[in-house]
This record gives sequence, C-alpha cells and structure tokens, in this order.
Amino acid sequence: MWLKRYDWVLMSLVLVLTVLGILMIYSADQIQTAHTTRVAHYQRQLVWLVLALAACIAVSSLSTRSLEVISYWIYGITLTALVMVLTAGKGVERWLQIPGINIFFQPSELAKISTILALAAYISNRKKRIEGLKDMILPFIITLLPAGLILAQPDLGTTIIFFFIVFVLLYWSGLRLVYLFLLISPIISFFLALVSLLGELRFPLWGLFFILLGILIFYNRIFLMDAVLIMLANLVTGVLTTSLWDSLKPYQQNRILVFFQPERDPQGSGWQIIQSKVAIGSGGLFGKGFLQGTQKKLEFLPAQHTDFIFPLVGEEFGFLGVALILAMFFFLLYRIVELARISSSNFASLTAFGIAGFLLGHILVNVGMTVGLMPITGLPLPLFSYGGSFLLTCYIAVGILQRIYIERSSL
Amino acid sequence: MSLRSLQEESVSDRLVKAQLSQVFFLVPFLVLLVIFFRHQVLHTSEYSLHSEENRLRRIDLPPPRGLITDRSGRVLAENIPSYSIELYPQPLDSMRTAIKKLSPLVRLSIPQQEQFLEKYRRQRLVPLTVAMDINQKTLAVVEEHRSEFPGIFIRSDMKRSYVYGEQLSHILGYVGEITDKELEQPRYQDYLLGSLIGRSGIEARYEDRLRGERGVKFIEVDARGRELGPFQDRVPVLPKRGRDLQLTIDIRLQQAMYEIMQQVEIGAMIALDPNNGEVLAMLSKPTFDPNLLTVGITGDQWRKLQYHPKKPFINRAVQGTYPPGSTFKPFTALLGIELGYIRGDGSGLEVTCRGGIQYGERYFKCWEHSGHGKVGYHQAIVQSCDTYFYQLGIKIGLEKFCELGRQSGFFEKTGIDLPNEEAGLIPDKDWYNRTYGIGNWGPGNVLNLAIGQGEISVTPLQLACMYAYICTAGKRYRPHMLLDDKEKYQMPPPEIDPARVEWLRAPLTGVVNEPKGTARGSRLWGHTRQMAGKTGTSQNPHGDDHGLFVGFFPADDPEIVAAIVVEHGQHGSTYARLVRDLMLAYIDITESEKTPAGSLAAGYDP
Repeated sequence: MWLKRYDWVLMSLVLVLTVLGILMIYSADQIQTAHTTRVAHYQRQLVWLVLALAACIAVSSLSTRSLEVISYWIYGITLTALVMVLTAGKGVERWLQIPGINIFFQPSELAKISTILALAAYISNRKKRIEGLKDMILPFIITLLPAGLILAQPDLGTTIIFFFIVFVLLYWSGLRLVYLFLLISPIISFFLALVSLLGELRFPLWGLFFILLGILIFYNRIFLMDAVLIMLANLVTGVLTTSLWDSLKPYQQNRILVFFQPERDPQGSGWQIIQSKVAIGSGGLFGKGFLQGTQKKLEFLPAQHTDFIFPLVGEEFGFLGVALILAMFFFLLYRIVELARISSSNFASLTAFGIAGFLLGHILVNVGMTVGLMPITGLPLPLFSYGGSFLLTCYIAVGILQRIYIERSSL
Repeated sequence: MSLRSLQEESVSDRLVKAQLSQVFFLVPFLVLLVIFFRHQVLHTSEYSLHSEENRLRRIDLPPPRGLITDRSGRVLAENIPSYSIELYPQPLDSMRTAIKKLSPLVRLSIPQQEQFLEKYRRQRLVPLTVAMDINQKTLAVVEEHRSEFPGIFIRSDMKRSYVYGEQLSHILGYVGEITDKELEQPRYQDYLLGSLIGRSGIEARYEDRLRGERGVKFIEVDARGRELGPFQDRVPVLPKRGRDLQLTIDIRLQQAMYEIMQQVEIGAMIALDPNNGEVLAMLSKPTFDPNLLTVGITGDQWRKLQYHPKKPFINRAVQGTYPPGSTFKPFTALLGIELGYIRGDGSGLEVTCRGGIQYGERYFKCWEHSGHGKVGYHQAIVQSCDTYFYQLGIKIGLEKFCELGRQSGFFEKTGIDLPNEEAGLIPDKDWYNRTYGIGNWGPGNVLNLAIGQGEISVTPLQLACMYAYICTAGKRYRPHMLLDDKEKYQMPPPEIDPARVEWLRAPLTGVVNEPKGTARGSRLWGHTRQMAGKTGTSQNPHGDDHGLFVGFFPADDPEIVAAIVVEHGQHGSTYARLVRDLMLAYIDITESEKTPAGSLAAGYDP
C-alpha cells in the first residue's frame, strides 16, 4: 500500500493547516449581526476536504513518469477550459460548471498545476540548460497562454502567480542568478520611476538604477542580444512610466496610487486594509480568543472567510498564532524544497519546486495584503481560505508531492 | 530514471540551489513576522482602541430642561417627546441609497437629498439628521421597516413645549439649536452640535439653571452601523434634568391680560406687586408663537418674524421706551414736594390756568384750551392740568429737575431678570449740549419735561416701578420674574419722607374716582376698594400719539400696579378702561383664592 510510504511530516502539516483553516472559517461564520440565514461555510469546506483528500490519493497513485507523459495533454485541456470560461461566462465569471453535476469549478486554479507540469516537462526534456533569453521563449509562451486568458477574466492576482511559477522554475533549472535579476529589472524600473515621479526628485532614482544595471550587464558577460533587449526594456519602462504618468488625469493617477497604497482611500479600498490592520493589531500578543474577534463578529473584516481569513488568525490568536501559522507554512515550503532536492528525476524535482513557488506566491501575496504590503488582488491563502476549487488544487499538488516522495532517489 | 537525473544534474548542484532557495524563502517570512510583531506587539494599544471605537457608538443624552411654572406651580414650559430620523456614518454609496429610500417617507425633494449628501460629505463622522420632529404616522412606518434602512436610527428627543403659546412668548422666550459660531466660544464649551440653548426671555436669562447636565450611553454597532445593543464594558451616565423655575407670574392674570390686550395692536402692559417687586403679568403686542421656533421653523418663517414691521420679537414692556406724558406728572409733583413747593395741607403752589402760559418767546398750551381755573396740586393731578406743572417746572428749574430726576434712579435699568432691558432717558445740561449744541436750547425745556414730554422717556416697566414707589409711599423693590427670596430685591428708596410721598395718594385716587378726574370712566362701581392711577398721552413725532395709563389697586393699600402703553393709541383715558378690566380680573382671582382657603381655615379652627 503506497499510503504507508507517504511523507507523513508533509501530510501532517497539510492536514493540520487545513483543519485550522476550517476552524477559522467556522469562526468567520459566527457573526453577531442580525442577518437572515447564513451559509455555514465550514461545513461546505469539510465536504470539499473529503473530495480533496480523495483527489490527493488518486493523484498520488499516478507515477511521475505518466504525469510527465500526459502533462501537455492536461495543459491543453486546461487552456480549453479557460477559453470556455471566457466565452461562456458573461465577462467576469471565473466559474465553469462540470457537465451533469451541479458543481462549479474555477479552471484558473487547476491551470496553476497544469502549467507547473508543462513547464517542468519542457525544461527537464531540454538537451541544454537555459542560459539566455532565447531559451526562455518557450517557457514564457507556456506561461503566458494561461496567464493571459486569466488576466482577461480579469484576475490579476492569479496572473501574478503564473509569473512567480515560471520565475522559480527558471531558478531551479539552473539559470544564473544575475539573469533572474535582469528578468525582474523592468519591474524594478517601473517602481523606481513611479517613486521618482511621486517624490520631489523626478528622474535621478530610476536613472541611477539604469546606470547600475548597465554596469552589472557589462561585468557579467551577458549575451549581447540579451543585454540590448534588457537595457531597452528598462529604458522603455522607465520612460513610458514617466511620460504615461504625466498624460494621465489626476483621478486615473489616483486610482493607480490607491492600488499600491490602499490607505490613500480610507472609505474605499483602504477601508479593507485599515480594518484588516485593526483586527490584526488589536489581537495583541495572545489574541482575543477563539470566536471572540470583535472586528470579525461585527463584520468589519471584509471577505473574512476567504481572502481576509489571516487577519482573523491575528485577531483571535494574536502574534503567537500568526507566528505559529507562518512557521508551519515556512516549514511546509522547506519540506517541499527538500523533496525537490531528493527527487528521482528532473521533471519531479522541477514539479516539486514549482509547487513550492506557487504556494509561496500565494502565501506572500495574501498575508502581505492583509498588512498593506501587497495590493489587494484577491488571492486566497493556501489550505486556509474558504473555497473548494483552490482546496482541491492544493490537495492535487500535495498528491503529486507524495508521489514524488514515494519515488524519491535513495541518495 | 535515477540514472538520467544523475547524468544531467549533480547532487551537490541541487543541494546548493535548495539551501539558497530555502534562505530566499525565509527572508520574506521574517519580514512578515517583523511587521506582524510591530502591529500586534508594539502598536497593539492603538489598534485596540481603534477596534473598540469601531464598534462603540457614543450617544449623547441631552438633559431635559427644567420646567417653568407660574407662581402657583402651573406648568408654563415643559418637555414633550419629539422624534427625528438619523442615519449613521456609512460608505457614501449606501448613505445615498438610504436617503433615497427614506425620501418618500419624510418627503425629501431631490435637491434636498443632494443637500443632505453634501452635508454628509463634509462631516463624515457624525450621524446625519434627515428629518426632525416627525409625526406619529411616519414614526410608525419607519419603525416597522427599520431593518430595510441600513444605519437608520430614530432619536427621541425632548422638545420644548410652551403650554400657553403666544401668551407668554416674551416672558419665557424660546429655545433653539446652538449655532456653529457660538460653539466656538469658550463659554459654550460644554455644548455640542445640536444642543438646545435659550434664545430669549427666561429661557436665555436662566439658561445655566434650566439646562441640566448631559448624559451619555454607549452602544455596540456592526460595520454597517446597525445597533446591536448596549456596550457592555462602559457604564452609561444618566442626564441630569435642569432645575425647575417658579416665576412670579400668575398665569390667570396673564391670561386675563392677554384677553384684554386683544384690543391693542401695538403696545405693552405690565402688572407687578408694589410690595415686593414681583411681576405678576406682562404682555407685549404683537406677540408670536414660541412653539413654532423650537423645532423645524423654516428660514422664511423666521425672517418673516424677524423683519416684520411691527417687530413681534421685541418685548415692549422692557425694551420699548416712550415719553411718559402726563403719567409723569406725579413724579414732577414728587420733586415739588421734595423742594417744598407742594404741601400736604394744600398751602403750597397754586396756579390759575387760563389754557396755557407764556414763557419766553413761546406759548405753552394746556390740553384744556378753556383752562382749569384756580388749581392746587390735587386738582392739577386729577384734571392733569398742564399749566400747573409748567409753573412747577419753572420753579424747580431745568438743572435741579434733571439732577433730582437722575438721582431718583427711576431712569436707570430696573435690573429685571430678563435679557436686553432698555433704559429710559432723562436729559441734563451735558446731554442737551451734546445733542443740540451749546446755546441751541434754553431753560424752557423744563416746561416740556415737567409734563413728561420732549426728550424724557421711560419703559412701561420703569413707569410701573415709579408708581410702585409712589403708591407704597416710598418702598422700592427691584422688579423680578423669579419667585424666591423677597429680601434680596429690596432697594434703598430715594430720600424723601414717606409721609410726604403719601400726599400723592389722594389726587391719584381722584383721577379715577372724582367727577373731574381724567379717568373717571374707569371707576370700579360697586366695589368697596377703589383703583387709583394717572392717564397720559405721549407726543409722538412719527405719528399718532401714544396712550398711557398707570393704575394701582386698592388705592389706599395697593397690592398691584399696572401700566399700559398703546402705540398710536392717542388718549390714555381710553386705556384706563383696560387697566380697570385687569384690576377686575385681579379681584376675581384673589377672591376665588380667599373663599375656599377661608372656609378651610374655618373648618379646622378648633
């Protein structure tokens, strides 16, 4: 029986986090206000957990070899589903009904796994290492197809996760660190340009970065073509940001600023961040106690059983609760990285590491959002947030990880 | 499989990558931990406060104002419930929806809705009052559908109600909401936006006593501003009702005065007890309904009252100044007594009136063109002979007249406990020089002053006080509205022998009761006790003369003094009748009081 050969440390972490999540969802359901009938979210999540566990076990029965073989097929099916969501839905729908059953599913969640598998399959089957921009064309196409379709839904948060995934996989494939830095340099340029615009100094900060970038490229012997492309990308980003910004109307500028700094709009999106911080801060060291969160009870926390479930941990269990959960999440990721290290094949190793990156992205964006570090993008917290599709996705990922563990190399 | 992986990638390669990535992963987690530590450990008290304030709503409980009663405890001003609809702070969109949903119920036009939204935009933190003093029907409908309106709150307030409406408006005044400007002043630091404050009359004068102390309660609300019940950890403070005030007014006499004054368009009447200075009744015409002003008066309505040509807001009894005309003659006589020109046995000044006298280049006419013949001070007062008082004035002389007039204190503010009292005027040399210029006036002015005309002026209240002094033969009290310790209102009288002041009683009784008296038509027929008084007509350069009368009753031992001024009323003798009617009402009231009290006393007498 292969269940006995599971990584039970990993499995325990996953299960404990899920159960804690369901407890928090139960708490989020306890609202004091006089409402009409409310949905018992925790019960639904329990049902989803059973389904997810079944999926996990089923997936873990598939060998990584067969996964590798069908990975492109899965990828293709996912893309089709994403297209269907766009055409069938009325524009903002993210859901797809599974034919025959009254179950709705978000293909964008599953797309994360299938993209990881497809990227892992591609990278592990390359004859040569990925060394320059030219080698990255295909990985980026594999990422951009689902990411673009999801952005069109529109779901910015999930799109960000796709870039996270391809980024960590490129790292794991052995791409030089300097290249990774060059890849994100246009993003840095964008922010520096924005910061320069808002501060009194208009050009200097971004300009300085641009010069340093040039020196970095020069001393690291980057392919000439790549160097030119990257410098060009940075230049265009910096200049475009500056000129586009000036052409925007004040209210448009304001909207962008509010996206990055919600506190600027305390009645609108800043409301969520302020109330989230108040919930977290008022929890103190030990918290107000399970079910005792007043911010939660009185519905000051928006989306408290989904995207903003983590402030509830902060409010009811304080800093100690937060530290414990964050430690468990980190340990989970640490464990997955270890798994990636000892995987028997490059495909399995890349898949494991991709899953770690995908989880990391979700955790950082979600938790960062609750304290105002990240813009509000609507990304759920893995294993914790209410939501069937995402829980299922996480457990499928866990199933794959268990299979990789079972097949690990003895070294 | 395992062979393939070993070919492509060395084990040590993976180890380095794994360890590096684990460090990379750890860094953001540590950053998050630091941030959470900052929020939850270092700044937790601020957030806790915020969290408590989030769900805590402080509701101020305005104190009920003290009641105002008349001298026998009948309620004149009380507090009755009034309901207003408020919306609690909430996101702008839901506020807009709430206002829109409410608008058919409380009849809000679209511009009004916009106004409320605009008001809310400016003050995001305070509840928005959308309707005040709503009627019972609206209240019932709103209560029934309460859950459909997010953030709605029905505030029950006490509304000031003036039981006798316009009969007492000038005495009681009214209350209104404190203005933004007043709130900035330090003396109003205890007041809040929306606090009621006395605006005139007793309400303003005794604001400190009537107001009471504000209370506060705390309730818990959810994110949408819905109330969930009392906030457990905070103890409410109950408001303290203001002190009740008992006035010297007798509402029955006041009502009688109101009825009597229906015949007068513009003017004032005041009645007081000369033995202690208690004001028994006071009325100024035209009057207004203070109940209109307590809540919900529109700007238009207010302006209409404020800028009405007849100035209904003015309390003419204490703010209107008029030349006293012939009602002033007893005061001139008093000066004559003091200077020895008039003696009680009638041996003093005697004048033969031939319809006036020549003084300097001017001929001063007596109102009786045919003349009064030979008159002493008694007949001069009874018949109101101008010629006699011209002569007396000449004897006294302008300088002395003015000096003694000033010293008497009757032209200063009486100090009554009502706001904005006006003082009359008695001129003197300096005043004439200032007003007309040196050399542009002469000693002849004293002739006019002696008969109460010209520059001299008094308020009806001052006139009543002067007569209170005369009719009690020298007792002086500060007139007042508050029924309390009588002693503190006693004032030092001018230094005239009371026995000599007494000499004026007989002629003043004669005015009403002798065949030649100018107010003989107002004699109390069939009564053992009689009214005394003096008529007056005050020349008015702006139109018809003002008619005046001051009377007191009973003539030999007065209990009540009443003065009336009727603007453009022409002859004072006409209005002696109104004072007589008031005296009749006074007799009715005092007798109805005595009869049952007397029989009771008899019953218990062993």
